[in-house]
Amino acid sequence: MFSLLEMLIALALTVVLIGAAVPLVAANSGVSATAPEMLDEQQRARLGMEELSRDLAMAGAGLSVGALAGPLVSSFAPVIPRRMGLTGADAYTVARPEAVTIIYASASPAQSVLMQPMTSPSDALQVDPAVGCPLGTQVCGLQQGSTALLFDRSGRFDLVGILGLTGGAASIEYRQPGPPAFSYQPGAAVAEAELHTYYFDAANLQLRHADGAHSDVPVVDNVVALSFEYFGDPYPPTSPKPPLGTANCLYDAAGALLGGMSILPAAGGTLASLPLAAFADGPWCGAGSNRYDADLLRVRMVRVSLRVQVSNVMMRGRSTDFLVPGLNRGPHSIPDYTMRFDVSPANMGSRR
Amino acid sequence: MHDCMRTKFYPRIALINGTRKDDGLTLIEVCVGMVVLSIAALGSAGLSDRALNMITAARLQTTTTVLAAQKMEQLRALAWGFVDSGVLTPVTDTATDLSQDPMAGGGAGLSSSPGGTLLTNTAGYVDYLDKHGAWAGNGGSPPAAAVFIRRWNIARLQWSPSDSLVLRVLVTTVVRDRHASPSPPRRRLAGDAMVVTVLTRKAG
Repeated sequence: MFSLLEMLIALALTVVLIGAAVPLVAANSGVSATAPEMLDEQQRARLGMEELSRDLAMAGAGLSVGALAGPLVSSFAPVIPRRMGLTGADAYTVARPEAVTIIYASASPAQSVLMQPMTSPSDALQVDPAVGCPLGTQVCGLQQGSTALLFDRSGRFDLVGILGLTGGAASIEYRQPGPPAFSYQPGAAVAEAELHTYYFDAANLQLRHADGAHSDVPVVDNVVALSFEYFGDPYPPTSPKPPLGTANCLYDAAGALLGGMSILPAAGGTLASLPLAAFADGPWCGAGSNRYDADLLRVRMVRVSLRVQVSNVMMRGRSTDFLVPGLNRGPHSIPDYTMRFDVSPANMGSRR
Repeated sequence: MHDCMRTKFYPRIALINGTRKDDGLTLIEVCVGMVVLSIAALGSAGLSDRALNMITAARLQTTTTVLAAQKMEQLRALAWGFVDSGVLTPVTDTATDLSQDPMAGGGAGLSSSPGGTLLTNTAGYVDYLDKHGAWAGNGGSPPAAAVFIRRWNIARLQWSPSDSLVLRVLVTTVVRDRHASPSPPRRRLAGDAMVVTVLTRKAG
């Protein structure tokens, strides 16, 4: 049994130890709260970067069969700085810094050409099974619910959803808000394709993704800034070139290149900075609400800047490191994290 | 009297070889135990700090990798293909200066770089980034705001010198670069990012 003196000494030692442990526990508690938030912020930024760079890298991937085989940018602009699709689409005259739509042909054998003309929205989609279609498939293997891309050399394109398959033809819905304004002739390209729209939802601080049909979902939360910059060819584009007798945004019916597009101020090299205003002043290619500025045919590189913040307001401070200030005044604040990355889509490379 | 009380209230006392053996703890033993416990507690307290340091290091590694990939994409965007005017004629960007942001003229584009551009800061083949990864400057020495150094090297592929290039990009920090060996080859230090690719001309 302990004597009173022993008890007092033991108590004193305990008090000293507890006194020493309290600051350690407090510091650990701060670190324990900081670490998961920091990790979460970093992972969200990485996820956003991976999603965007994956689809941007695929932008413009085209068909491997038919007369229009090759990168899509030879036929139309596959990267467009606005929201497109059935819902929430911007007007074609809009060019936004915080939104981008990316189009590419799927890695699918469903690629062919149109067999019957399509001149009205009620026309069914009929493709030529002899051009590149897998044997034994109906409508070249397009499935109900998939998305098909139609385009020709005139610079027009449309995306349609496959509603159903009946006797070698597909009933379709147009993936654009307004009525389509096209008249595709036999020989126009048809392929299963993907449309990805990424945009910044400032009200909810989210990076969102829409597929042009009925899906519009958040990808990353607590995004405080998103911007896209474009770089490309200083020289005017020379494709798409329509067949003789047909004019488009670049050529007259006699096949002569139209003027009106300038050589951009030489950054000196072969890449020029393309300001957003250049994508909202024409000349306009395509038709209907899928029209796009001809300068988009110059794009070769896209720069993305994605800034995320920690979700816990107690972890955000009030300095310039925080776009949305928080309540933290202590040492354990976590600054916003910015991912800046460039993507040069392989199918939008130099064509000169 | 004292011994009697201990015997009475502590029945675990045993006689071993005729001597008393009390298996309770003395104050010294308690003190030693507490010291050992304190050392263990102090050790585990460091674990949290270590975990945070590792997360910070992971973030740094992610940033350097993204910055390296960014420069690689810029290099890949430069003209390195063919002009199809009936005959395929090679075209090469020999003018873009990628050490500026946005890129400008007056540079060397995809011309072969001098040796040692990964080892030292060589104007035209290096740029500096701030803590957010934004461009902060170029030239032979880093500005005050620079946190990251990004260097690149362009060389012709030995087996296909006219049509293929080897592109290398190294990203390190200003602090870490002070500890790098000045003699070639430049080795990747912990936290550095080094990206290498081969670029080949293609038509269309």
